[in-house]
Amino acid sequence: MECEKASALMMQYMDKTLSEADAAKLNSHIKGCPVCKEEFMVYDKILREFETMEVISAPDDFCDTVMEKIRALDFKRPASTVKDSMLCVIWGVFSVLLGLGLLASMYKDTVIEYLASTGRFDLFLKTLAPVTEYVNLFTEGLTNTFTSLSSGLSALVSPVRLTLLVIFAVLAGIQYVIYKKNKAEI
Amino acid sequence: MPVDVSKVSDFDLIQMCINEDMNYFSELMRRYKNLVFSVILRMVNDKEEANDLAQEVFIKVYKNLHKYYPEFKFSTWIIRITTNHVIDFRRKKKQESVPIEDVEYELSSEESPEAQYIRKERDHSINSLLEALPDMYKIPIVLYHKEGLSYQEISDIIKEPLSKVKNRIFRARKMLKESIINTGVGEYYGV
Ligand SMILES: [Zn+2]
Repeated sequence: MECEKASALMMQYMDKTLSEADAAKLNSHIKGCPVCKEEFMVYDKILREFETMEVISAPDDFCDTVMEKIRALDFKRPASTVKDSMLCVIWGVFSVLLGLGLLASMYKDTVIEYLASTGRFDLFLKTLAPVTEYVNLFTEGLTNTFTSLSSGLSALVSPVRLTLLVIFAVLAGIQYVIYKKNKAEI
Repeated sequence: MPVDVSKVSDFDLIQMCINEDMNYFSELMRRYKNLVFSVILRMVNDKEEANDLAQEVFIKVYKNLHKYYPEFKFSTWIIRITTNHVIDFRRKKKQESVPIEDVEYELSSEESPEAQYIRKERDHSINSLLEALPDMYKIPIVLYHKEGLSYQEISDIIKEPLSKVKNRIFRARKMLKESIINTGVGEYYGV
């Protein structure tokens, strides 16, 4: 065994995850390699030093002192954050569903084609047909709106999709930031 | 307090503390004061200062209790606040401190024999070697080897990926080992 491998095994020893077989390997290497032997002895010593290191306790009156200070603060906790986080969750779920729904309806041809090709969703597709039609109309309207909105840029459909994607990416980004802010660093 | 608080979980205790009676905080503190105190003391090496800082940490914890999410263990959350607080404190202190050339060095001739002995003893202990390590190595290795935290918990505390945590602890061990071998402390260890 090379010294490098021995060094890795020593780290496992420090982690207390060294297997019996590896311990035997390490042992036999150490017997023939004074450099690794010295290293191992030092590591082992460090481990034991940590174990015997003095346990530090806070002063006896610690809790009382802090409680007194807290009482003196007259601190008012801001109103419930449970409601806030519920709203956050509802808003998050809503916008994700909206985004996914819009994306799905925009790429509905591909989705339907795929579903039809597997053949297992025939019944499902039939039931959904009226809904699909309605969604078609809705999406058309939406696409038109976006097309007219971005007509200055281009009347093509794909840039519109791109624009929508960007909008949702930004929305998701904002949401993520809000979520992180909510759990802000203290 | 009507309930046997020692059996209540951390999370329930926090809710009780927020919604019912702030005095439940005392029990939370009783559970973690030694952990917080010892982490701080290893970072600042001054009992007075550590005591002040530990008090500040718990006041901060109290004020922010409602921000705790049980996504992490409470101890993890508390140690994260602790290490951040100490690092912050030291940063401020460094800015306030006098430039080195203005400091008058006291000669050690007046040091009592006891003090000299203690200093010498300390130089041989792992404590003094730990002191010399930068925070980024010292904090993880102390949390791992002394406080018995897992790599995952440490990664949650210092908000670094697991691989980075392991790497730092490995390097910290190697640094300790090197300083023991190079400074001849090894002889003291009988190595
Ligand atoms: Zn070797």
